[in-house]
Amino acid sequence: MVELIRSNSHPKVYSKLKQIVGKEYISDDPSILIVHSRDQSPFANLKRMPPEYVVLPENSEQIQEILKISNKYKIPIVVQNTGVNVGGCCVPSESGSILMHLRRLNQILEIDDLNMFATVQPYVSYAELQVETMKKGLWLPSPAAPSTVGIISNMLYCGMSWCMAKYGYERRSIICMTWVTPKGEIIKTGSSAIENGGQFWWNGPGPDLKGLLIGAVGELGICTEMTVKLYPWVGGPRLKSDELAKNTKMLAISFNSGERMLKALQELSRADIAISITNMPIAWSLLGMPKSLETSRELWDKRKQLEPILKHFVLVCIQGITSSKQIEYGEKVVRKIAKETRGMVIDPETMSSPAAQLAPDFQPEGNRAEFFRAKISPRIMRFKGGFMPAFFPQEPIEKALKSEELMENTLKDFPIQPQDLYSSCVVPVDMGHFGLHELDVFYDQNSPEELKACLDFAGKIQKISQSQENTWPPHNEWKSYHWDVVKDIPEFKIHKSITQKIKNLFDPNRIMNPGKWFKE
Amino acid sequence: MTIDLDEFYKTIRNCSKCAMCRTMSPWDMQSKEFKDICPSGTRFLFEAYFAPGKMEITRALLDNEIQYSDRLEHIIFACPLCGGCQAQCEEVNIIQPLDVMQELRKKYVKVNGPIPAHEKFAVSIKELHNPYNEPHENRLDWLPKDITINKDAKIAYFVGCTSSYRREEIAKATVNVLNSLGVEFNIFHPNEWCCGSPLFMTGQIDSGMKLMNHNLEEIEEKGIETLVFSCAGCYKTFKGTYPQYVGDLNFKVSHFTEFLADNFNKNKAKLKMYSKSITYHDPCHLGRHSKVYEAPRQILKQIPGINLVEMERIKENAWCCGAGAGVSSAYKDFAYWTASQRLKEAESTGAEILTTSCPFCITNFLEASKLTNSSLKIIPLIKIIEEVVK
Repeated sequence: MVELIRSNSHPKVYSKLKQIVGKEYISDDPSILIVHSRDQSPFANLKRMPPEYVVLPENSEQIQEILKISNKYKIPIVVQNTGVNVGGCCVPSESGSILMHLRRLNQILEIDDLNMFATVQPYVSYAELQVETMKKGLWLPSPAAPSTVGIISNMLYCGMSWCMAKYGYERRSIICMTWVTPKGEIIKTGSSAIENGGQFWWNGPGPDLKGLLIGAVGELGICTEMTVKLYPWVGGPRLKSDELAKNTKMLAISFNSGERMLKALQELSRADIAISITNMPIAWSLLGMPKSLETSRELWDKRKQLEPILKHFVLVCIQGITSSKQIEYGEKVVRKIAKETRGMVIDPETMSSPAAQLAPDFQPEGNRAEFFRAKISPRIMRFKGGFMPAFFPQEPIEKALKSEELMENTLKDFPIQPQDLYSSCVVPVDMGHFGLHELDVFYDQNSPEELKACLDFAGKIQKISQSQENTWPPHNEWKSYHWDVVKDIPEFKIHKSITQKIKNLFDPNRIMNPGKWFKE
Repeated sequence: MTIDLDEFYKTIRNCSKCAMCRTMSPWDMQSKEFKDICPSGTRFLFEAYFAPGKMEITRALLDNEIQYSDRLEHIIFACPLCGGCQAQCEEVNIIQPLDVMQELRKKYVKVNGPIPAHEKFAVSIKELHNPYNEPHENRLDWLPKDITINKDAKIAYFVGCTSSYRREEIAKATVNVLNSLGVEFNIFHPNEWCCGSPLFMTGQIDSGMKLMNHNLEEIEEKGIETLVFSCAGCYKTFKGTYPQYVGDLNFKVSHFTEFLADNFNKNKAKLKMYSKSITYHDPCHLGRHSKVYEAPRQILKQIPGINLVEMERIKENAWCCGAGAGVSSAYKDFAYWTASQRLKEAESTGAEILTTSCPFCITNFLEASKLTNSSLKIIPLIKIIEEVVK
């Protein structure tokens, strides 16, 4: 049960906010507020906190004015773009907050196809930008999340994609930003910092300030515009098109050992022949690939039978960016590496393939479309109702088995049944320079015991991982509990002290999304 | 069997808020301009108006965390129950937001009674058997004198209130087409009453059930084997809603598009040329609610000369006309706004004509078209068919 509390200054603040945004775009009605009291994460579910006001500003000027009110009355501000979040980062953690929803900042401001960039506002999703840029032969790779997520939040948070082997982390694509600080100043980064400087260069002037906003979980201000890099796209303007089928080849490789799979991931990444190379966890294949939950359940029941094929499973996507010959060449390389690493190549485009027999929904058309705008990602949540990315080590790829062992050992004590309902995968980054390892656990949001167990488990495994050699335990900005983890690491003392000074400098009244990253 | 709201509790709590229900399927999306699927959320902007917000509100009501308010009433009823959210959710999850919202309306009405605009048409339906406050005895005034009605026919035409009183041209065209094709059919006058759709859709279930019982008794008495509809709303009510309360019906229900598509195929109908560029709007009650997408397209494709140009949002992804579920009676501006968005999309196809197979959609499009000065001609599909089968 949550309580909707109103502060003494409520009437005055409400009236001022209404003057700024207009009466249609503000509400303090409990039915509007309650919706923002939680997201899908265990953090927000265990301690739900509705805001006191919801406002929908139209532009940076209105945002600046709202920040003035917030500073004057010391009211916390929580910002939501699309609100698709599993980390509790865009719901209030303190009472009396203003929830600022950026739904009205929803424009693609520019697509420069010659110089391959686009400038977007916060409420523009990956799918929306892709449908416009693909018409011009360009795209921004989709995140490993629903394509409904906002580009700006995903870039600034911890967005990752299936295409990291080629294009790196999502944030690599940031060129310029317009950023409203908690005090209401407007900072522009990259070449846009200089009048008429354009939007093509990401560094400077001086130290690159954009790094401050990346990973600050909304605590240092609000990004109202972002210019991102675009990459060549040869799949045609529509996902379900012949052009996509003609210019794209999906291949899957099954391995009978983890070592061989990791070796293949490194070799495939280094060969630079694919736009995507990723290990696909068995749980994602079985729970996320079928359209219906019933089929998922049937497949899950057969999981032991499917393990030999799906336990160490790699998906490779090749596109003929320069010519169709590139697909032929890429496929030859994939087959050669698979042979050397003793993997079995499965062509998911062949209906008689073992994968198609195992999962009837694993259809060629869906498979390709799925890859570029994922439905797997929201589907996996339906199995138990909730899923939590519990552990995110970054590590040299060959270390992944050690982490896997750590995960499996720790999972033995995980109090949620069944204990084999988890997924872990290794995604190569930067041509295999390192890998992102992700462990997801599944739980029922209706159960406070399961919610708590998830959080305890995440904390436990993060702490254990600190002793692992060559494992960077948590994503640097992942989760609001991260601070609790790093605060005990001696090497973080100086880091903590500096970041707190930065917070104080930018946000002396501690109004921006308090409690999400910088904690007292 | 209907499911009680409490039974949805666990499922709705597990809504992952993935936002797939805010837009059409990302696999089929073609432009940013025509991406939206939820009229309510797109128009009123607060998250509470989108399906995940409504799920959270339902949970909060069940948990007694919030009370009914004017705003909550608006959130619950300023929604055409088009099912766009559910069509998207079915691709990825099991939340059933449309079903939840229908149950939420029932709960609202049980506690607070119907909202004034809906109560008004409920009174009219109770007294006159139609929501338009028109005399029941005038229900068949539109019927041309030269039409042959066979009182012993096993096929009957359920005219519906909108075609009887507001879109008489649709009722006339339907009987003309049936006559032209030599179909022996009956009409129930004076015993055809409102199907109850406006009541079922606005949470007034008990009143809706009285109409259902009356209509079903009539049909049984006449020994009807196939009931044909020109209204998508009536069709959906018979096909989807009645069976929730009485189980399977012992007669076949057929929307005119299904009936004629079958008939054209069987008789290899000879149709006149109709050289026009046409775009087709999927009515929610025929499309998403009843899964009839192909029949109207089959008909249009069979008519020589027609160039069918599809809009970006079609079938499961169609944008609603905005009139349904009590919206046009309670929130006219919103209904017209929603229709005007669809007109814009239809215009973008370059078609001369926007056609559809629901009299309620047609009415709303015509009204919105006056307000937006749209250049599109809005013609009911049955009128086009009437012209080519004459």
